[in-house]
Amino acid sequence: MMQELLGMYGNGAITADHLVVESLHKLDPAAPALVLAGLPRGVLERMLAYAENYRPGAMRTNYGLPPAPDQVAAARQWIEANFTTANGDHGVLPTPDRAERHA
Amino acid sequence: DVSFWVDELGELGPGRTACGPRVDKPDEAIVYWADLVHDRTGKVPFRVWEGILKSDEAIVAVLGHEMYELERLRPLLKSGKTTIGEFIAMTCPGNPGNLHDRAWEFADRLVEQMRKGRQV
Repeated sequence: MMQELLGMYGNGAITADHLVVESLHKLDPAAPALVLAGLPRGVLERMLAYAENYRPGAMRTNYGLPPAPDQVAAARQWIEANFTTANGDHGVLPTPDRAERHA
Repeated sequence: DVSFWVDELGELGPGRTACGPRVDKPDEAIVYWADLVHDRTGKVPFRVWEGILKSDEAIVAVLGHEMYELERLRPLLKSGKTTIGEFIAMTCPGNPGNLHDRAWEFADRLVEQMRKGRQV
């Protein structure tokens, strides 16, 4: 299923943000790598931004249900723990939200 | 700047024949035009139920509906003033008189014109 979603994203059938949420829905908080390890860097960056803006009980969507808080928390922890460059710096490029907080 | 795809996820059917991009935001957050645009293709992707492809009228109605909605959403979302709640209210079914409703009325007119065009 993840391969199918990745293919749909790669072809252009679903957006990166759609892939982010669908991936989070499939994530087992006890084993996040099973879903996250195969995602492109850019998608993981968007997932981190989603996780940082996530508000339990206050998310709105035009689709179904938002991911559960434990899924989002597990994803955030995994990305922050594993997303480093070779020199040890955090490998995530700043998004506008993150850039504002660092200013 | 739009692309159409046959639904591969099995989420669509006779009751929901097409869908645009999924948008998730915290309550009161703003929805931007860029939230609908695919970062690689630069297009807004729509998925359609495979069943509509069996009928010319269904194809015209569904694509017409989605295009009507999108073209009226475009300036609103580019203004940067539309909240996620407003976006959902405009585009969800079951909200009489909203953009989604008007888009189906437009689709009905398209099909009527199509049928008249067939009459000789």
